[in-house]
Amino acid sequence: KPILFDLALNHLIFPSLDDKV
Amino acid sequence: QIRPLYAELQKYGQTQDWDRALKTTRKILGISSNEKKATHCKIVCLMQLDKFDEALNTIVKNAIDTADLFFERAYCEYRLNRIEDAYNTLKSIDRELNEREQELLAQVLFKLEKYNECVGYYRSLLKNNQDEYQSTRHANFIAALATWK
Ligand SMILES: [K+]
Repeated sequence: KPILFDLALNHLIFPSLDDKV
Repeated sequence: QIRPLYAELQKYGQTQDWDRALKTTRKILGISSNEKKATHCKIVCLMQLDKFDEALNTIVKNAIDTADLFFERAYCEYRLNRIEDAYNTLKSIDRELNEREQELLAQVLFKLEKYNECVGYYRSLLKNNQDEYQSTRHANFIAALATWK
């Protein structure tokens, strides 16, 4: 069985901290 | 004294210095353990550092503050090979799935050998996307289709 490329990880986003600084 | 730490955290996030960013989240949470933003950042740092077990533990231990982190939770479960859990986390979302949740669900469905549904998500993702990953996404679609047939 083939393995899919993991595209989901590309969507991991570091949160915006504009409201905290 | 939290604001300068958030400035530091923002800087490390921008430079993708995940080790230092993680240390800074720990400093913030040491001062104030219920900082929702710092908890979210800590989880993302742990995931970027491949520490999916610790990331998921952080999510579970901070259930209220992390209740909306469906993608992060499901992705940790997926990488920890808790595929049924990842499926249930995504299915528990009480609204239409966004693009990244659909992308992860397609990968989860493939692992669960639910190829029909998996192929359907890839068809939709391919139709509605124009990002730089389209050729890779198409390869996933073909792989799912070929495995199904
Ligand atoms: K994988």
